[in-house]
Amino acid sequence: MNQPFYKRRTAKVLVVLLICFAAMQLFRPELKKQPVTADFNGPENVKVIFKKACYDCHSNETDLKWFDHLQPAYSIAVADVENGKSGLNFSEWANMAPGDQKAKLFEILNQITTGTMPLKSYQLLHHSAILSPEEIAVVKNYAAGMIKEHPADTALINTADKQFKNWKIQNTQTPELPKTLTGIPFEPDYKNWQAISSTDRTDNGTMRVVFGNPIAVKAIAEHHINPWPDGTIIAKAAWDKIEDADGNIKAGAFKQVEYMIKDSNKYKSTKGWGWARFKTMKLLPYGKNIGYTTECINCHRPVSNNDFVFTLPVKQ
Amino acid sequence: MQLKPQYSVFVLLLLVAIGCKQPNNHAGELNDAAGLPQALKFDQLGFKVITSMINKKNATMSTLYGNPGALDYSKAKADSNAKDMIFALVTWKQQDDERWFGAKIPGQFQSVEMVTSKTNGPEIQTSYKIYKGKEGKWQNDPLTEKARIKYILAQTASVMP
Ligand code: HEC
Repeated sequence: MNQPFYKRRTAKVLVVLLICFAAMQLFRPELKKQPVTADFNGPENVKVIFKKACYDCHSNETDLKWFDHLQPAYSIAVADVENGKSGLNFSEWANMAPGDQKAKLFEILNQITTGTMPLKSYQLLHHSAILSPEEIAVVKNYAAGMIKEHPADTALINTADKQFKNWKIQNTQTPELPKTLTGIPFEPDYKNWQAISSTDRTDNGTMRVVFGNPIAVKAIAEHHINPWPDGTIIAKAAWDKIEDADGNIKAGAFKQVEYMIKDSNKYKSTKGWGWARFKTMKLLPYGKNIGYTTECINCHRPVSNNDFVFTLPVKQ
Repeated sequence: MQLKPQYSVFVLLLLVAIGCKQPNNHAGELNDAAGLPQALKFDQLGFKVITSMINKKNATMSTLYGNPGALDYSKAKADSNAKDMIFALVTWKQQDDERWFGAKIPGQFQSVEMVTSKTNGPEIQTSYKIYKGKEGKWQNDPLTEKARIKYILAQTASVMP
């Protein structure tokens, strides 16, 4: 049976698809143009790398290729740029405080080394964004050069001493427990849990102890931690590092305690975890609005295959 | 054999998926090197964290644990209203954290040092023992004992609101 081309089913389907494709092109979400106000101010060899691999989604200098302008790619690109810029915008880099810039740089590095960034979908068509080991080494060296460890100055020591004295006084009071905007209350019991690891952060001058509640500890004992069971709580407390002239480091002032609370139903929309951070002895809940959890998740993305948990637990 | 066009798309996607494999970050694994010897039954002692420290020269990190008496002592310092105290200092070699450039985490387990202080009337008896390595056993160490007891008793508790 030899029908004319326009009567064949494949042809009809093709025509319908073509019409759909054309119609889709009419839908054009707006990519807002914004000025570059405070561009990345690091060395040129590092900037070149960020420019070619990251700026399309993380700066106000988005440079879409012709195929990015075709729908549905265009909608995906616009959404990526919006999401990407909300967490990291190189065009506003210099507005960040130096400490925040450094923290962001290490976050960036860890997103790159784990292959989380640039987005896989982007690399597919933008081959120049695939970073070579040499290029990654350039970023690594730049970050490593920012690690500066030295004996603590008197200010750091005094802050720690003062805090220790006040803590002993406060110890007897039970103030009302603060809550995050997502409704997670500060959990004072973490200090009675088992330690499941500790970290020495050379990148930000803190040392940490990671605690696990009894459910977490049981999961570790049974080696069922990917995913962690519902009811798991992981708490990470951080202190300044106080280093003496011999390179002995002890814990200084308390900085913050962070929690990941597993409840795959309740926290379905945030990867099954409730996210909380309470800063300083005032236990100030972190986050200007409930969107703060996006920040938590984005930073934890390099360990998305490990139930979003960085900690490699130690069995007692 | 001729491959249908649909299959070549599939093969292409497969290749992409393989190319996109994340570098191994040991997902789901435990920190085996740092694990405490099971013979110690450390988890059954019910100790709490007192503080933690790092020794850059030796590239080690430690966590100091203790019973309630030890914790109180390290918090209050001034009034050592003689309670029974048990301190346990666990030490690991450090290793680079493969999941976070710039961080170090416990590596090979090194030792547990235990200081026990008992009151016997007006007398305070303090003893020291150390357990070295995964296949170790409790030992005395007369040479360093005094210095280690002094060091461990001198630690102040980390502030934990
Ligand atoms: C195709 C767009 C795209 C490219 C290219 C891209 N990113 Fe991203 N990036 C995103 C999106 C979208 C997010 C938000 C998280 C998500 O959806 O995965 C993000 C999140 C991040 C975050 C977390 C920000 C936060 O919220 O704390 C970092 C850091 C980051 N990217 C770094 C980089 C670096 C470095 C490069 C270049 C090597 C890069 N990205 C390239 C789209 C992109």
